[in-house]
Amino acid sequence: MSELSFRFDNIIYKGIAGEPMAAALLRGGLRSITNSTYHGRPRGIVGLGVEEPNALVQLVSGTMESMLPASTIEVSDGLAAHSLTGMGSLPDLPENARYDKTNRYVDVLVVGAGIAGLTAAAEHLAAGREVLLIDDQPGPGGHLRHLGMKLPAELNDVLTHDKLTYLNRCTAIGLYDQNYVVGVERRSDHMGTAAPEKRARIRVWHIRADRVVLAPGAFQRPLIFANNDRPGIMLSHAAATYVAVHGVKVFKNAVVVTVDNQGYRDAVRLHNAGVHVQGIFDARASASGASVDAAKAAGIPIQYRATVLDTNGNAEGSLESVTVQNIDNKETNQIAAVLLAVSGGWTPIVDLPTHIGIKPQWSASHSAFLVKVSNDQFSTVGMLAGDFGDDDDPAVFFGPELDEEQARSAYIDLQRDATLHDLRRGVGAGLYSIEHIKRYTTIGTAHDQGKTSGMLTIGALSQLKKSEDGKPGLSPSDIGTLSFRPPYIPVPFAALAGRERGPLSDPIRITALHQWHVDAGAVFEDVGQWKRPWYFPKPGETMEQAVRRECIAAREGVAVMDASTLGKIDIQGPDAAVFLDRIYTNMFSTLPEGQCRYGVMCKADGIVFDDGVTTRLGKNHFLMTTTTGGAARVMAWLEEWLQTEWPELKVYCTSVTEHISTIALVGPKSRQLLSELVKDIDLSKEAFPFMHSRNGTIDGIPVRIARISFSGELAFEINVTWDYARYIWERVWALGRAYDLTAYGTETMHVLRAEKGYIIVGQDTDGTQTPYDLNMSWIVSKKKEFIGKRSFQLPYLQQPGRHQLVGLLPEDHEEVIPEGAYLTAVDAQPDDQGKTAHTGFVTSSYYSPTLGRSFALALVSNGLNRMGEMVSVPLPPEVSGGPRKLLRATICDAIFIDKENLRRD
Amino acid sequence: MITKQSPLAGVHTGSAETVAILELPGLPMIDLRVAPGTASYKAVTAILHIDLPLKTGATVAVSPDGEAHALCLGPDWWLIVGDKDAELKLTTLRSNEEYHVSVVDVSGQRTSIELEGPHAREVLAHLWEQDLRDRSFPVGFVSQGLIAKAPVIVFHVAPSTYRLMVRSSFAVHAWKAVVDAAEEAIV
Repeated sequence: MSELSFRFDNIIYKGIAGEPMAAALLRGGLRSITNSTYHGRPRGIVGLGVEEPNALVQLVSGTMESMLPASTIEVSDGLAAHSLTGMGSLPDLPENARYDKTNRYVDVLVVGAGIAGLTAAAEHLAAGREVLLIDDQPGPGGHLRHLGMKLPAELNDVLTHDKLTYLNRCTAIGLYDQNYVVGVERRSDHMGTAAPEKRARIRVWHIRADRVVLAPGAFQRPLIFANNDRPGIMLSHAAATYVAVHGVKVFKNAVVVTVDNQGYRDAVRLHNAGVHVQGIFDARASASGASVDAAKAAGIPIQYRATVLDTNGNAEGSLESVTVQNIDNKETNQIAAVLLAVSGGWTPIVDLPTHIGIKPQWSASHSAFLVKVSNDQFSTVGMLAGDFGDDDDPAVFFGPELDEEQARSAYIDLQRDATLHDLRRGVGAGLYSIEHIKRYTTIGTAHDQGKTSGMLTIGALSQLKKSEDGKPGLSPSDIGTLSFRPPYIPVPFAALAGRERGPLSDPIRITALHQWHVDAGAVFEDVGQWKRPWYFPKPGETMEQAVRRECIAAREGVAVMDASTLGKIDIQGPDAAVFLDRIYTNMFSTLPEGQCRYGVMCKADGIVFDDGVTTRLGKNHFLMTTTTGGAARVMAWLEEWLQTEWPELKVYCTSVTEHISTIALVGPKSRQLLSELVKDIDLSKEAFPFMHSRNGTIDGIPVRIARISFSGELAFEINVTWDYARYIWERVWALGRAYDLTAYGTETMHVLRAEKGYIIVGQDTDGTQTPYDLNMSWIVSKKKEFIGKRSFQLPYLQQPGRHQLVGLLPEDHEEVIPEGAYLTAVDAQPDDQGKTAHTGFVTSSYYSPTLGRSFALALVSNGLNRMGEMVSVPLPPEVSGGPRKLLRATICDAIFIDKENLRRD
Repeated sequence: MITKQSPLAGVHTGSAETVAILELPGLPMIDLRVAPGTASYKAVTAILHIDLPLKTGATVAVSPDGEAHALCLGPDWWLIVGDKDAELKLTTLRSNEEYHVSVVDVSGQRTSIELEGPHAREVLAHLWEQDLRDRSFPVGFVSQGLIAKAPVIVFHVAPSTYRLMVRSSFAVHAWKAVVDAAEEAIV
């Protein structure tokens, strides 16, 4: 027990390490802690834990977390906080704390380490089961802790059992089907500045248990009476605990109002701690039990059939006196008191069972909703199951009858400033359902989600119904409970994200050559989850300069790029060729061994879905490449057809995307450079024609060389396994010095392929293009069936006016049209709403150093029949960066260079 | 000099007293697909001199030293790990018209991260949503799933040793997640 100091609203308070901040504030004399959100009324501490409706604070130390009840914050060294009026703010700071997440499978999960939970844990341990025990308090014992009592010795042994894991400060926030529970463990805030640096602040536990035992206990509830919100009006169990356990001495005198024996127990605790308890006012006609006897023995006056009607406050609004009322004859009496301890009965914590749809049942003898479930997989024990001990007999009573004026200050939800008057107005408007009332009055929608107000609302509603039609009225069971939803307490988003934040928020995929690219100063772009070099700027170069240099190297010298991210699928089996014929629009069964062919695949709707080059490695053996982003989709597509539609085909598909790294060597000098490396393949155009594949070696390392070009230039792809990729790349690079070898990235790749009119699926298509729309009728086989073929007959795919892929040449050769820009007919006029119909849009747009001008690809309505037509490109100010601009461009064929394919050899 | 390079360059951290985390670079891996009960399957088992396990998740040692294993990943799917000759032995089947067998060298497709030590299971539990209790995932079993959203095969090699076979492109990401999960376990 070490005393330390902390700051609250810039005042220094003394506290004891580990005690609730609320206790230290009360001991320091702070009665009114804040003003209420909407009515501006002074409010003090009411409860003991997460049920606290008033005392919200914002931390100004540590993680600066907001909207925390002062009753749940443990005093620690360096703690600082300030009060909040209903609304906090998140700090505009990076979240540097560590957050952790883990999974736990266990025989038995017990939620709640009170007597009931510990007893259940003991039984399961005795049966040889492994038990995980979680509890949201700093220590075990539940109410025993509040009573300042030690655990019975036999339950102490439970905690040291080697098959028990006990997690304190761990709140079960949600219960899901199949005994899946999520727990949130607070691990370092209570340590303050002494917390180890690496220690995760919060760990989220995903728990799957064969058996779940719920022993969550109960909250005490308040009563509804006029001016029931003043500082100094507290739940009796909380008041007695702060006084008796935490040494709060500010309450010289008190009145206790109760509907059960708990009020008597707490009255005795207050009395024994030196508080002058001036009376217990019990709504019941009589009471008996050990606690009642103890109160009588202590000489505390008891009045039956009496309750609190109203209160008065001092100048700051804190409690000064209490108006008590005889329930039968309505006579009132005023008693001076600074503490009103209220015991309105217990509300067992039914939240978790309602998460999985279990309806709590009303028990009039408990004056509470209970959940009694007991089977092998799932059970409830303790107060939730109705075990209130043998010294209790609560009345079903929620407060005295109040007139309209009194109802205006009779608060049900203190945080929302929602009163009995608001509730009556809701009923007056015709609302009866508890769910409608909740939304109309906002009761139960604050940070505490109705922990104290929910049952009061149900109680008040049942009374209202009675007073309206004069009949015996409704039972709370006719009203029913609210459906609670996870989380049981507010949880920081960072905790739910766990370690999947920042760099770990999504996988970053890299190739075998990634570090080389980093060292070479590449600027990266994200392609799906992959990091790909975008361009390789030399010192001082802009992106535009770097891309022009890279383009020229590829067209005039030799350039190299890492093409390893392309998806690669190994396809084997006697029916592999038949399978590919059905998947691709063009023919693959006719492809000779050792040759490659570009293919396009469509979905059943005839729309182009992916493309790539597939190589026939053997009679029954192919290697398919896919787009970088489409690899997983294509693999799933192939498996779907093989497994569900064509199980008779003997084909197996295996992803080899990472196994094979691909280095593309591009440019007129690529053959000469490669010939210095590869000695066992004749690279001449006669011996090694375009779209052929050859196996060979580089320095003894097996490689497969393919004459595939995505630029139209003479090009070779070197395929090598991941582990040798870096070595081969370095060899190429070293030898390339003599050729001024230039590394290039995806931007240059895009320019080069667009100059040749090669599409990128997803960039030059928008999910509505058939091969015909892309001017690729040459790739659609007429001799066979394939996926999508029949859809080409659909009328809407044959309609005139479909978007078709064309080239665009801007009037201004230096102007690069923004990608995505809309095109309009040159004579297009705005309609009566000021809107001009578009005729297509730009999909790819670049400056071509080879052409010495800008160019673009576009999807244009009926574009293939509009060659030579001029279109307008209106650019609004937010795109042009200045005033509205109107560019012009001419529609042309999408192939801009080397239509005759002379360069590739 | 010709140098091989693994996705994690042989990195290691931690210690065997708590948990040692290290890359096992360069393990040969062969992806084998063949339907059980067929002549093709019989041909495969005759070449490997072992019966392949038929229960998904089961494994069997394929070398006398116990270092090479065949992992059953699906009803007609095995990954043979650690046997550098397996591909050569089995490729002959590929060119035989009578058989329907797929044999693919996937040595570069994945690398292996091994967790070893008394805290290995606890560290793995931070990343792995599946049940790691011995009765659900005994020694000698494998399972496929995600670690930090990256596809991984987990192999329970020995009582306190787990091997994560992770796609090479995801290896650095997965390594960072594993090390982060072990922050508090490695003291």
